Amino acid sequence: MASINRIAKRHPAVLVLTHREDDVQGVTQLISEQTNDFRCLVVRKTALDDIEQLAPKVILFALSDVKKSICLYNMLIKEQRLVKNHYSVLLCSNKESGLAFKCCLKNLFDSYFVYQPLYEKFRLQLIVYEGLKQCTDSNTYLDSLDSIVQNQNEELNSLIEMGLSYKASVVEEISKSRDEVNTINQDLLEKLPDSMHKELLSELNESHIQPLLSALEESLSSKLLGLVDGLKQSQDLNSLLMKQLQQPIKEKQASELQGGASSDGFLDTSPNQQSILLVEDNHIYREMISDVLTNVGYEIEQVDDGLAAIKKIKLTQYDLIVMDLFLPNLDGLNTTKHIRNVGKNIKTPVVALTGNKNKQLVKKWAEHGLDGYILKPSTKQEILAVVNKAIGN
Amino acid sequence: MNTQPDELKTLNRNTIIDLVGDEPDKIQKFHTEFLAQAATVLKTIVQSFNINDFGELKSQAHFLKTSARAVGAERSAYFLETIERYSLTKNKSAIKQIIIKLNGEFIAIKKELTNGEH
Amino acid sequence: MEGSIPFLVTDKALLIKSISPAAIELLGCKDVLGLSIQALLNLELDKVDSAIGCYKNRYFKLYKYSTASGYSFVLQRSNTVFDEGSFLADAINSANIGLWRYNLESKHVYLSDITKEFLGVAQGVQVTWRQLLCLVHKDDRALFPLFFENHAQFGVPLQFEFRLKSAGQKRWFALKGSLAKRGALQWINGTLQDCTIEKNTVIALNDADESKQLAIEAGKIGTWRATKSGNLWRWKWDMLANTIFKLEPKDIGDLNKWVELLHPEDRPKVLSALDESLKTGVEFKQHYRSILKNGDVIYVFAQGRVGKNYKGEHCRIDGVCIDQTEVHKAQQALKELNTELETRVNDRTAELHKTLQKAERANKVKSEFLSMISHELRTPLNGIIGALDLLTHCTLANESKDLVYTASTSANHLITILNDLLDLNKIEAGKLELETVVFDLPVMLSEVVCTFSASAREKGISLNVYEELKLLQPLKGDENRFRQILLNILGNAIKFTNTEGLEQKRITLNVQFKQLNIYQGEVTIRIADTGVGMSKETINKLFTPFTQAEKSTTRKFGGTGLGLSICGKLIDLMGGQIIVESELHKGSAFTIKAPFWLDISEHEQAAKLPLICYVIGELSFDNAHLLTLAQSLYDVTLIELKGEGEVNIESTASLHLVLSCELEAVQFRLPQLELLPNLIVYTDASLHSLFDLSFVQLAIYPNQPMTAHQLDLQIQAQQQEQLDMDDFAFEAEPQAQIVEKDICIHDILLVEDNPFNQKLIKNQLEKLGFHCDVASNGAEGFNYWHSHQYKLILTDCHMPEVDGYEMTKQIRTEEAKSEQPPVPIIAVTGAVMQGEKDMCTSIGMNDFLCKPVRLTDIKLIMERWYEHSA
Repeated sequence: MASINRIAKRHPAVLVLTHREDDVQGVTQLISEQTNDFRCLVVRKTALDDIEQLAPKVILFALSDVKKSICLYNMLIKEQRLVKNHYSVLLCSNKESGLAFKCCLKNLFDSYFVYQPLYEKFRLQLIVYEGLKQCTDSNTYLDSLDSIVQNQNEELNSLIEMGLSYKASVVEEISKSRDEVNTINQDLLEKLPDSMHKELLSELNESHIQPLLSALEESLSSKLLGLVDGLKQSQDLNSLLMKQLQQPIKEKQASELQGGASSDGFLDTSPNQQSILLVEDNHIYREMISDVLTNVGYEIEQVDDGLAAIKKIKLTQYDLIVMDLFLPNLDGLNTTKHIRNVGKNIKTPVVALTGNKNKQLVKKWAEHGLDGYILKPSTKQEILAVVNKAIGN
Repeated sequence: MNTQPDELKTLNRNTIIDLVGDEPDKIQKFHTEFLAQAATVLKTIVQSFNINDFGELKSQAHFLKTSARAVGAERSAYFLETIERYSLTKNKSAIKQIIIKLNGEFIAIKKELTNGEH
Repeated sequence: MEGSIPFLVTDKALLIKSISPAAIELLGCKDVLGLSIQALLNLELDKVDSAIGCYKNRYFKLYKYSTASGYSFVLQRSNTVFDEGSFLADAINSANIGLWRYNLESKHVYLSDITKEFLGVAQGVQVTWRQLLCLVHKDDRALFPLFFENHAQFGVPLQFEFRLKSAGQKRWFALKGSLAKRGALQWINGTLQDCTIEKNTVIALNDADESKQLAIEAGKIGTWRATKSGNLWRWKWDMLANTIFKLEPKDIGDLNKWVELLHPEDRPKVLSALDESLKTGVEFKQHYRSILKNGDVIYVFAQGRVGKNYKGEHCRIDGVCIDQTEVHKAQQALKELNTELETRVNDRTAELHKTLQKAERANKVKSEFLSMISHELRTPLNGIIGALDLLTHCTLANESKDLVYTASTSANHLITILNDLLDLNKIEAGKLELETVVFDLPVMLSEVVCTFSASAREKGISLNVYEELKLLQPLKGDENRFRQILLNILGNAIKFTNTEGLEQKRITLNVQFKQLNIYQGEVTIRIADTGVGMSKETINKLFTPFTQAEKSTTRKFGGTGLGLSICGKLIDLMGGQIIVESELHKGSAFTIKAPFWLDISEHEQAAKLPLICYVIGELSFDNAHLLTLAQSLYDVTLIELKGEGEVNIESTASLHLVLSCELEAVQFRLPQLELLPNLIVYTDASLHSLFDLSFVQLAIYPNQPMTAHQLDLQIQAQQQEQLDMDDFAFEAEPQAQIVEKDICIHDILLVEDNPFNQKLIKNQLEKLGFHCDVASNGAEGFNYWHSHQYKLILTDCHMPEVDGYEMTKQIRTEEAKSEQPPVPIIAVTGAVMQGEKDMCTSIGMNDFLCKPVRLTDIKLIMERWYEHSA
């Protein structure tokens, strides 16, 4: 067994995690029959780093009990140590099979298997097979998506370049024609015997022809630049899309886990917990507010500036947004304007956090749909009163 | 604020108790974090002061004011607010004095926190 | 009978009154009445009892008898003018012999005039036998009947002497008498003679003889003599001499007997001396021994003088011999005793000397032991302190934090004790030498005051400093030791003033300077507090090591009790003094007087900068003092703003002070004041907080505790336009996650032999984000340096084999050879010896870190010496 481990690949497809190698001897034997692309890892302090290095596709958690396995998985996900579309299997003893089942039901693990005692050998192989298959699928899907986006990106790039070259040629053209006009004028001036005429012509040239040309040049240039900007914007969007393509799995699971961890039991969270987005740059104050709200059962997501908030609201719908008035990058007022215009939170109530000196600003903000405000620092009661009222509880 | 300036407390523990509840461990954690934050922000404030970046000075002061108020550091919050005000008029000599006082205030908070533990 | 006796009766004037018929017949005359008897008979009768007179060529003898009214004279026919009786009487009179007669039958006594005079009886008084006896000395009365009866009955001669008090003097009389019979009548006639002189002489002679005899006998002094008859010497000695030599009585006079007894060793010497004396007349004087027949040895001293006859020949020798055996024995015993005593004294002296040496050695050993143990204890303690220091920088549970705090306080306290012990030891061993360096007293004072100003403020103690140093000149002396004294005493003042229940907590520091002569000046610092105070007894014990005022004090306030005794010894070394006044429950005052040399070298006096000082409202006491301080440092223009006077903003001065204790008055002028450049407001300490918060935009300082140097610093700091980042780098509680995970570059070398210290310093460096290689000794360190690139080397000084100094030397030599820039080398040293620092720098070390190494110390060193590469 050990020899297999030693010559194992740098990035095995299947990884078994355990506290003691002896515990999983049966399991490893079965899997090794199925595939060589496999490794068993004894969990030590450096486990997180090790696992990240190994980047397995199918991970079997066979720690001494289910709770520990969950914790480790939690940690791996929180710290984003795992590949995007991995397949997680919880191995458990028959005593804990109920708990394992619930975990899978909650979508925490993709599957579970009772390995103590080890009876359904073929089922284990089936699970591993399923996992490997799914990973390959999603990988190919992602790969194709990647290539599509990549292609799109390239297209955009060429378009931008084309636009820019076009602009350059136009500018060149214009300056050419200006030169032409100038030479013609010059010729005319030379040919004209009368100084009066000369004067008239040069006056004409300076006050009419040249400004006209400049204006033309300017408008062309700006329109072209606008075009290019547009292209750039769609490029940004594209890259955002690429990022987001990689995110959903993690984020979904992480948020579930957070919900699970906040209540005492791992799994019996009320399904319709109300969620609040908290936007505040001072992390101490943010933690405090979050603490107050979490304690009464709200689910809190924290961000520290307006831009991050906008990213959030595009993807998630919240029951309430609590927001500081002064925020770096994008202040509360403008963020609110944004919220009201795009994303899933057009109708979400917004509560402002503010120092007492900004009543005017608050009033102005109110015009954009403010549902209340909290004076910093405020007491717990005051905060809860405002939040509960705004959320409609 | 109607209170006389010298009635302001260096550290009004009631404020934070009202905010996060009477949980000593949690309060201690926030206090410690606040001090760390204060140390960092104070440096930025001094830096901004030295290069006459009054905009940054104001926003840093505002930033720290939020947590200062939340933990009940009343005098510090008052100083920070005054810094904000004087940043608008770019009154350097006044700001200098307040920064010096603010520093003293943070040291006093630290002392109060350490003494409170023993 | 009357008819037949011829007699005459006269009156007192001897005029005849009557005459008997027989007398008429005898004289042959009748008509004699009324005539003077003397004239009649041609005689003198005034003083005699009888006389022979002549009447009509016939001689008559007259016997005079006294009567009541005069005298009666009995006449007797005499044949010759020579009266035998009167001759006898005259003789007796002139010999002053008294006569008496005693009638045995009638017991009648007759006493002659002389006798009466002797006895002190008036003339003409009849004395009875009994009365007579009464006059005699009572011891001698018995003699009278004894002698008289024996004489009368047995014919024993009546002759004896007796004593009598006469005319107030005791006198001796010799009485002689003999019985006379006339028929049946018996009487005793006798004489009485004054023999006082003879008797006294005899008695004195007897006494002298007796005492001489006594002396001779008592002194065992024998006498001897020899007389020359012809050519022969005749020898003779007394019994005493004989007894001395235990010779037979018959041996007296036989010189050979004496010669035989002479000790053989002394014999020739004695004999030749005797010969010499007899021949030449030289005094004979010899000490010699004799061996008696019974074998006893006696020690004799003999002395003799030679006498000459009328021809001048040496004819006799008289001498004494004294038995000195006992004296000699006593002397011998004394001598022995003496020698014994002497040896004993010598023994004792030797013993004492030994003990002294022992004590000295013990003391030396004690010192060494103390020094050794202190150093030995310090090493592990340094470790403990370092470890605890690291621990305090970790995130810990509250309880553990408490424990760590306690442990580190205790450990630090222990270090102070050890340092104190070392100090005391050094002073007692006379090893402490004072430095003489130029120092700035105001700067030093300022440091001392600043050390305590924060803790005083926290404890609610008002600390006030009043410097009166107008005449101060630059001083030379041991600044550090003087500072140590001040720190100690001021520290005590704070300690003992910080007591619950004290109404007023105040410490006042007065500083004065006085020039003693052109070379010396005296600094006087009085530190007075309103603390617990001390009793007289406590003051007396104050400077004795290990005694703190009271046992309870130690418990309450801590401290070793060594501090003040060190101060006392230090001030003694400096030639100054500490005067203590104290009253229980009222407070104490320590006056420290210390002489210092004046630094006579030239000093440039910087010109004073102009400064404008506004006084708003009343000038408080402490503000007045501040004004004096300011005036000593700056060229002050004083402007008092009482009414609504304008503040002169267009002043030329660039420095401004406001002294005020009136909030509203300052508020009123605030808009004007805000425009003054470099303005500092000074107010009373009690108002500082209020002012500080009311005028956030102004620099507000309390006027006490304030030293001149501090004032200067504050005014200078005020002129700085930019803020120094370092002043604002206060340390927040570090968080656990500071440890950086980036690649560790080991660019520091630690050379240290103690594994514990290795670990400790390594940890401390890591805490600060540095990583080091560790070498265990100098040789290893040198090799490491040779094969690696280091930005900094920390090295212990004392290590086995190659020590830190040696390694530094090697590295510096190597660097010089290869023209490399020198790597900073920091000594990590536990020793606090004077000169250690010089040693380090002289050898080429750049700086040094004192054990126990604290995180902040290392940080400081790293900031100073570690060059961050770009």
